[in-house]
Amino acid sequence: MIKKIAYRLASCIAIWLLLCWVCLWMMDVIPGHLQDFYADETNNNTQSALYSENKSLPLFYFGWIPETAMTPYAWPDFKWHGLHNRFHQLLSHYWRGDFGKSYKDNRAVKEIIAERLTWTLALQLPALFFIIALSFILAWQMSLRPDSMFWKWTRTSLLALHSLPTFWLASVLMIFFATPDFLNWFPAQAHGVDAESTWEIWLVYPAYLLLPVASIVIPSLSFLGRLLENGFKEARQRKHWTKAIAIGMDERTALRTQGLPWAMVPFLGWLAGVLPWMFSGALVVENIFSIPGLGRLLLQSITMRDWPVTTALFLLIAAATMLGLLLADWLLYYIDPRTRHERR
Amino acid sequence: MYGGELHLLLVADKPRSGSQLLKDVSAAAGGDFKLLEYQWAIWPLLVANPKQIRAESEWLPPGSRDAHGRIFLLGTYDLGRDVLSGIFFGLQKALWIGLLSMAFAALGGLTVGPLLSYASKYRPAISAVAAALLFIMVVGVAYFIGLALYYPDYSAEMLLICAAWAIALCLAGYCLRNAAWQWPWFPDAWMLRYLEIMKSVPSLMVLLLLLQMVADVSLAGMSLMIGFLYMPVVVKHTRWQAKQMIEEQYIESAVGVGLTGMRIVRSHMWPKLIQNVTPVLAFGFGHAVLAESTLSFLGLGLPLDEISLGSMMHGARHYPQAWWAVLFPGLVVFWIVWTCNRFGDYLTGKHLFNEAALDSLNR
Repeated sequence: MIKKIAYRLASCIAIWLLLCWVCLWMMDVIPGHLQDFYADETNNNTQSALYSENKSLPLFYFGWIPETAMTPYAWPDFKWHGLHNRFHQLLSHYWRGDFGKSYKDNRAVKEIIAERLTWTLALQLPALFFIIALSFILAWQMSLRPDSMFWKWTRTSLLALHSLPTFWLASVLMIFFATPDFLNWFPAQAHGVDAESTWEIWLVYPAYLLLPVASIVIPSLSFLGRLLENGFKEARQRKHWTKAIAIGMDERTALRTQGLPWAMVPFLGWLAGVLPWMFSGALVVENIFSIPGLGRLLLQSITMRDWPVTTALFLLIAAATMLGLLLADWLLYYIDPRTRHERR
Repeated sequence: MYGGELHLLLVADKPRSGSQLLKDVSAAAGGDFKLLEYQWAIWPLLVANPKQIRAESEWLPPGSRDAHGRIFLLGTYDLGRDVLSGIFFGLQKALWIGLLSMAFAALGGLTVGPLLSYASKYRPAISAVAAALLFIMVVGVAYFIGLALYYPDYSAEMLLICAAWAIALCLAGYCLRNAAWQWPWFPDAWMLRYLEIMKSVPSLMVLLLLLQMVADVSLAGMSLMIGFLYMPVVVKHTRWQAKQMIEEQYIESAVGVGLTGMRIVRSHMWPKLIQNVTPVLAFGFGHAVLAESTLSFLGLGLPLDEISLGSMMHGARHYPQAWWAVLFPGLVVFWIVWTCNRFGDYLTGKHLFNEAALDSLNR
């Protein structure tokens, strides 16, 4: 067991380091930088200094890209750069908890992310709650009456909802419920709303969240709902279900004791994706409703070439992805006895 | 038909040089065919050219006519372009993206999955010489791709030479697989590492960064990126299927008869694998269309002057009164994705949410 955990952790760290390198390399290769967006502004000396300082360092501990590659036979030019490279610098800074400063406004990345996280959490936590609660209710009701009209219609409509493009749903909701031409019920954009904490957003500005949460919940709901329903259905085909019914258990109790554990396995698989989804899942919705969350920050930083922010977000989301997978595996180990007895 | 001349303007795009029509159009009527006295003509059902810009008739609601009396059934959007013909144009593009990306993903999945699964059982060891050649090939390809990305004016000719070398090394490695110094090479473990890495990659972010890497991404380039990110799903599926298949008797007897690995994969594994992988590709098709339209909607996908379903909606973001420019293209995207999902659902025997579908969404 310890060996297995150690192996998983080690591979996660190795992959994370690899992604660090990939991220730095991509930023090296992507053309253009922040200055292009401030070309007409004269006062950007600090930014250019920062940029050139960063670019002058080599990428990794060693390199083999020759300085002049324009000859037809460019042989690799092996060089050892030592510790003065961007990869090492990034790791040592991150190790000390220093995530750098944004090129755009020279603020600490940690501060920006913490500020944006309040909005993202305010949006994603209720969305997550509604997705899980509603899909459990739907799956439960569907499994209680299999092959009825209710089952058939819910199933079909869930499949249709699953195909809804989130960005389209969000735009349509915004046009029809938040513009003066139609029903002007909700505020269209959360632009310029000042909120210190997630609680404040929930208590003072819930109207700003209603449409975004709805446009996140509706397409995701169908996926989890059908996943759980499928789990329940599979449990029904098992012998333990037949036995439970045969000894006189009623349908609800059987569903709770026999079906629910069975449906938990795919649910945990889904749960693994929740952690990274918390950070970047609302990218489209945040952009449409101008919610100053992490998804919007991500898109802005990538398009504006604000590399410290992008790097921090990329590595954060990569770490969250791996952590989610680890956690799901660990939970599965406790819930599913088959994984405990499995031998490799 | 004009003055006894037959012109196929949809095919030829322009009147033939030296014809009467060309002279009259350029001289008399100010470039509009409709004002000329033609004998007969068949006009296309869609009046408007999707790319034509009419600044005076911007954001017209559905069913309205412009100053020339042309009707726009679904209205116009940004720069006065027609929504209906744009939808047809974008639909074509969306289908191409789905098709190309899934072709790429299937190509990878159907070669890597069964070949490495076969190798893990029947060819666990290859010659160290062949392994070294393959290693050199991989490192060399990585090196040349790196060069090409660092130096944008790096010649395409050089990349072709590199590809030729890579293929030559691959073939040499394949021919030398039975040579001396047989070492185990753990094909299945390599595949698992690949899947593990790709599972941990935040694919949306990588897609966003990849799109920034190429200045004006083409349709093929975009499909390649989406296909590359969807490939692990297909590989995972084919690996799982192939591992089960390898244990079956017909493969064992084929090995016993003395067929080569390539032959076994081609004629004994592919027929069943293609059948089993189709639903995964159907879901992937929907995902690819969705990904492309989402990115174009955010203004990151195809260049903005290219008409796609997403970029039509992108224009309407700054003009929220134009519900028609959002509703109709979005309905088309919805319709494509729904069709793909239903098709995949039908193929999997009414089990939409199998592992592959779950995987594709989680990533």
